[in-house]
This record gives sequence, C-alpha cells and structure tokens, in this order.
Amino acid sequence: MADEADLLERLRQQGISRRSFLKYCAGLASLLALPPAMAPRIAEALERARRPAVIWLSFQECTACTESLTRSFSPTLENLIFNVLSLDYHHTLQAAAGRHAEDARRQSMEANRGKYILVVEGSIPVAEGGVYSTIAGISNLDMLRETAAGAAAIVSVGTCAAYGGLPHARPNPTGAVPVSEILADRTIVNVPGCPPIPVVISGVIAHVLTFGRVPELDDLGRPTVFYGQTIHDRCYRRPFYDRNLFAEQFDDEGARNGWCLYKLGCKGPTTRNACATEKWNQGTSFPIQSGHPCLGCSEPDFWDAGSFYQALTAPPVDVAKWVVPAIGVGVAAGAAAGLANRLRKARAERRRQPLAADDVKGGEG
Amino acid sequence: MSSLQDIAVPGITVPPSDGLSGNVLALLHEIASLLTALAEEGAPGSIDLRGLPLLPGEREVLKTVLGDGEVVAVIDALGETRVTETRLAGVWWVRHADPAGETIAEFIEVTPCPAILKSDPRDMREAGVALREQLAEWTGGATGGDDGR
Ligand code: SF4
Repeated sequence: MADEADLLERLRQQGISRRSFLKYCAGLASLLALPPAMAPRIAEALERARRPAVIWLSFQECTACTESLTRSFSPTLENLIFNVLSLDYHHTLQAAAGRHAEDARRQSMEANRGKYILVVEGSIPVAEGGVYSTIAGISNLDMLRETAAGAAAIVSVGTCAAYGGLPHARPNPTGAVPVSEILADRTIVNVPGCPPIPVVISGVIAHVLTFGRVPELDDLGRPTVFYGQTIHDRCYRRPFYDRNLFAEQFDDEGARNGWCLYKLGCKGPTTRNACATEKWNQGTSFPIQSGHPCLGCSEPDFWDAGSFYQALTAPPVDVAKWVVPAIGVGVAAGAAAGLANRLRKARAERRRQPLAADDVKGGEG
Repeated sequence: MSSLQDIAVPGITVPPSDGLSGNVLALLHEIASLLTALAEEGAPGSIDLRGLPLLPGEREVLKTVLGDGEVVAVIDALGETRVTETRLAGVWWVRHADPAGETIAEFIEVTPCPAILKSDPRDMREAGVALREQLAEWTGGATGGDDGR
C-alpha cells in the first residue's frame, strides 16, 4: 500500500546516494527532452513525491510488457522508478491469488481513490459479452470499467492495450479492442510497442510523478517526447539509405556491409518509436542493428499491414546529393589546433605578452 | 501509413573545406553563445547530446575540436560519471554511465562548475553530525567546538 515516506528517503535506504539520484534525474531530463538544468527540479519534485499506488491490469496479452520493464539487470532509471511504486495489484508479480488478490485491488482503489495510476496491459475482448477473458469470474471489460473510475491517470502499455495488437489481428475472433475504445471519455496515455521500451514505460510514470500530469500526447495518444520521430529519423543506417545503398537479401554484400534494410521490408520510415536511440537489453542493440528490418510493432494494426519483408514503396533515387560523407576524427585535428592556437593568442593578449610566430599564424586560421 | 515520398529528408549542408560538418559548426556556434551568456549574465547553459541527429563520427569530431582542459573528475555513483573540462574554460563534457557502462546521458555543460560535482548542503550537514557522533563515541562525549548545527 502507498505510504508516506518520500522517494529519496526510500532510495537512500537502498543505499542510493543523493548524487546518484541527481545523476539519474539528469538522465530522466534527457529522456524527457527537458533541458539538463531541469534535473535538480526533477530531483526536488521526485523527492517530495509520495509513493504512488499502481494497479496493473493484465488482459489479453503475453506478459512481454511486464517482462520488458522487469528485466533490467543494473540499477537503471526504470527499476529505480519501478521499485518505489506501490504496485498493489499485478497478476504476474503478486503473491496473492483468487479472492484475496481481488480484495487487494478493491482495497487499494478505495484507499487511493482519485490518486492511483492504472496501467493496462493487453486488449479487451468484447465479443459475446466479454466471455473470452475473465479474471476471478469478472470479465476484462467490467474490471477495466470498475478500476478506471477512480484512477488519476490511465496508461495503456503495449500495442495490445493501445491499439488492440495481436488479439485484434484479422479475423479478431474475440472482438478485441484497445482501452481507448472502452474508455472513450478519458485521456489514455498510449505506450505502444510489442513490447514497449522499458525506459519509455518508466519515463511516462516518472513524468506523471514529477509534473502531476500526463505528458503531451499526439493524435494517437502517444507521448510526443518518445514517439515524436520515426525509427528512420534516428537510424544509424540512414546514411546508406540516403546514398541508395541497400541490402536486398539477408546474406548479400549489402547485408554484410550493414547497409539500409529498406528493401528487406524495413518499416522504420513509418514507425514512431525510440528504439534507435534507447535501444534494448541495456542499450546493447535494436532489431535494425542486429540486421533485421523494423516490423513497425508500435504502429496500429502492424500485424495486418502486409508482409514484414515487403518494402513500403520504391525508395527515391536522387537523394545522394543531400548526403555528407561520414567524417573521420582526423579531419578535426586541424580545426582543434586552430582553436588551441586562438585560445593561446587570446590568453597572451590578455596578459600583454609577446606572441610566438606560430601563434600568430595559427590564430589567423 | 504515409508513403515514403512524404517523408522529408533533412537538408544537410556541405561541410566546409576543413572537414567540419554543419552539425559540428552549429554546435560550436551554440557553445559560443552559451559562453557569452555565461560571461555576461552568469547564466549557465547546456546541450543535450542524446537526441542530436549527429552523423557517424561527428561526436568524435566535436570532442576533438573542444579538446581536453585541465580538469577531469570521475564520480562513482551508480556507475561512472566523467566530467571533463574542455580546453574552453567553462565548457564541460559530462557523461553519465550506469554500472554496466551504458551511457545514461551526455551533455556539454557551460557553467563554472557542473552541479553534479558539488556536495549537497544536506549531505554536508549530515556528514558533520555523523562525524561528531563518531567522535563523541570515541572520546566518551567530549567532542569540542560547536554541536554541528
Ligand atoms: S534500416 Fe530502416 S529505419 Fe534504418 S535507414 Fe533503412 S529504412 Fe530507415
């Protein structure tokens, strides 16, 4: 249950120093695209944040969203945030079962009415009165409506909760729908992805804790800070795309050279997500870096959008003129020397000392 | 879905002859104006390197151009944070990493001293109290001086 100790105090009990906390708040500021000067203010707001109650409902899903969030090994931002929540109800993580679990959910709803965060994972089957998925005899539909009523913020985690996802794929036998279709009059934060990037899930929760409101959302309910750009906008293979250098098969020369995967069906150009910058598995890699085209798993109906391996359209042919060749460190050496000379010159002038001939030459450059 | 032709390809200017690309030059200009603001108004500033669409190699070019100054500080706090003053006084390169060495955040800070280096007043107070308590235990209560408050 939610308690009154503040967040920093709880972190310090776990051996986390104030400086470490500030450092992670700097990371949070960067993640939320806020100026780094905001880090101390974020730290202050989070320090004061009371332990929020979270009710996590799992409907038609595969639990990968939970896995995504809980599988971080080192003290990352996501487990810092996750560990200080009061997770009052979560099928996979709770010890209680059956009636006791449902009692815990209702108790938390009652004690934290109007203040708890509701996280939903999975889509909601509505065909035939919602009989396709029930928990303790309660249909997903009824449980969602009942739990959403007293929630301060509602977050749909994963493509299933956000857009229906896999259960919604044709022919959708269970009549699966996203949360937003059931709670049409509420603001829903959609955090799509199959699964979503863990730090994006925790970033949204951290935003709510820090600012007391949900982040700015786009027309599909996604936080613009994480979904404002496409994978293609941030892809490191983009210079190859711009130069029309494509892998055409998974084992051809282009694939071995790490060229663009567009012709192998990459959906990066039409997929809004943060994989290319946040990456996966402690920042190790993301699908494109591992040689596989982006499937577009954070977009609505990605499962029904044609073959994963079919290119979107023909790429434009004359983009090479836009391209700047990759720059080596070597070319910067001259510029660095020029700057160093200019600095020496400025310092010498300040001290009114005579300049060496080299200083004058370098300083003019 | 929008078609590929609808997606704008950002214009990138051709680099000048010394090999500095538009992105690096733009960042150097920004650092110059941040330095002016710091010198004239005392206002610190920073640039978040995380979200910048830098071309391969540009980060290294920027690092090389800024060079290393006199101060390097390493902070051991849930992973390493390395704070390096560049050869431009007041311009610091700050990289925060987690225990696995993964970058959490990377900034160019334009300030007399990055905030992460400073001790927190509350920590300092607590340290004083803790030291006095320890001394009191060792010396049987006679700590001398004020009471640490
Ligand atoms: S691999 Fe995909 S996201 Fe990357 S540049 Fe090519 S098309 Fe764009």
